[in-house]
Amino acid sequence: MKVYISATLRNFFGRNPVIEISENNIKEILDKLTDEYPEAEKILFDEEGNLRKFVQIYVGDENKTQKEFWSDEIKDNSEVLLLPAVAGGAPRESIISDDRRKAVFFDDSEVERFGRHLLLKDIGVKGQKRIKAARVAVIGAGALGSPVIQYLAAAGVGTIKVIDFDEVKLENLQSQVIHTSRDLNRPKVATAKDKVRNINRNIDFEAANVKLEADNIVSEIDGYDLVIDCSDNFKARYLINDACVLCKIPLVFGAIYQFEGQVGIFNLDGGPCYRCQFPAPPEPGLVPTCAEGGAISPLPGIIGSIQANEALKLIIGIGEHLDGKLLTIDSLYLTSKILKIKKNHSCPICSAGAGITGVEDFDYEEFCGLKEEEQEIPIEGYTPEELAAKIESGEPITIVDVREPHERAILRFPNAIVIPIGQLARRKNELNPEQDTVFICKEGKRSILAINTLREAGYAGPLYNLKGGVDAMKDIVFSHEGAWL
Amino acid sequence: MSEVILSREILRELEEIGKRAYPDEGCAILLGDTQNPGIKQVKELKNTADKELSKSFFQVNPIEILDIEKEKNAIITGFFHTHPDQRAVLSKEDEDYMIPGIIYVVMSIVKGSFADIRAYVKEPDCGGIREFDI
Repeated sequence: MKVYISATLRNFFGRNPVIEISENNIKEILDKLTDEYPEAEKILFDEEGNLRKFVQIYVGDENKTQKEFWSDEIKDNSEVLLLPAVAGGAPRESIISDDRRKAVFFDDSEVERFGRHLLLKDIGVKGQKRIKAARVAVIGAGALGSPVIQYLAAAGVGTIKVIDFDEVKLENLQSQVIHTSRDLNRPKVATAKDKVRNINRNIDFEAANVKLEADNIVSEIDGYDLVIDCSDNFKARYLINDACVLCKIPLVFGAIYQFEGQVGIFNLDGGPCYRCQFPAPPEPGLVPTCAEGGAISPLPGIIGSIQANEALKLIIGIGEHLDGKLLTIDSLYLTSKILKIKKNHSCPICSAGAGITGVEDFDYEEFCGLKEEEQEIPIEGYTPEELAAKIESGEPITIVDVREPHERAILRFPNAIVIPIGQLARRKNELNPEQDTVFICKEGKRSILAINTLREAGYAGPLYNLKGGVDAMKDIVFSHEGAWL
Repeated sequence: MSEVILSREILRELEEIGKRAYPDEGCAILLGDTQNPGIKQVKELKNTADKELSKSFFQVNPIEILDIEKEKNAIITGFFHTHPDQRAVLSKEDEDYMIPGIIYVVMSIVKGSFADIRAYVKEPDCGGIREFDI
């Protein structure tokens, strides 16, 4: 069997134009060639063992590059040819098509308003038109949403949709700078709407005061050019990611925790998605939510601003994008890193043979461990009123506080013993199985983890969870004053 | 070798190919000969990409390359293609199709005229891609 090697590939096969091989199917021929010319293996095949795009295999004048032909028997008098695939494409500049850009016009006030953009060679009229033509959906009008929404509005994004079901609370004002004291108890999307309209009345603003679930997310984001994830919980992140993959919309991801933040772009032009990097969320209770973990005020401003910047770069079509990359920033020490994310070719949502084809098919609650599992012994709990009554009555009861030291410094629970969750199994003998033990934490979630940990360690005494945690107890006043800060 | 030398005639020929093909992508093969490696001759290739896609993709029938190899018995130094109304920068597609060691010349044709020309080569171990000065 004669194997003809193209001049373009001959350097890797000892400069031989024709190689005689006795094997008679493509698979075996390739194996033999790479045995004889080991350097050629890396040239022909990539790290995953797939034939590289620039190699084409012909038998006679028939293209047999596809793997399904590789075990077919080849007649002795045929010629097998290793030829180059010469191909390529122009880079796609912007996610906004030229047709949409050409349909945009500016009036004098817009020319004045966006002067600073028009002056930039890399943006100019073309770029600004793309910005005005763009439709962006921002999920979350909280810490990250605040800078994102405001900067996108200031930049002139034509259509902005904000999705958030929450209302403004006092503790939000520490970092969610889009809201003010006057907005307390208003829906967050309402203040977002006011802010955007105050920046630029001509922006098409859509407010969606809804909780995103599997049955409504696709209808909320379909038709948008870009989705910006400014959410704060894992269930939302996976739901958003999956919906974006299925609707083929690029996703600008952002996350913050204490002093660190991350930004990345997922699902751009078939790039990796959130699940490629994080196939599953951490165990519930293991990682505190933002509400429990805290974050320094400007951090979401930094991270959200970068998200807005990345979004604009994608829309205008300039610069390098965090496409399939994760930028992590430590604001405490001002260090940063960019991590490359590899596309997972067996990703359950974005790979070629993906198992998930519709978000409705997937149980996000179970995935994120939010469903209360079928306990053999269900977890019982006390409401704050019940616990207060028990304490007042003087009934013997053990109270275990599983919060972190800095949380206990804010608000100490009187008469509670302190056992961190990690030490519970070891210190279970400090508990008295003859009396009720009540676990408290900030919101009532870590205390459930504590109870499960003790049950698994074999503790058999009665265990109770304080429903809603210390947060729910704030309104209850005890007779022994002076216990609160 | 860190630079690619293109004579004026070759440059003009490449520009002609790009302009003729505009607004579609034009492509050509760059041939040297055994006495003087380098780019001595240009032969235009047919862009076989689908009609709607040929403004932003190009594809060459490998058999056409085979015919040239057999007929000319010349050294294939590299390949050339144009980016109509786009920058002369490699796209992901371009990179995936690059054979290590072969020079790839990309020309930007904006609104029918020459705008920029750059040359790239992929490292022999399929590692990185280097840009050459022209």
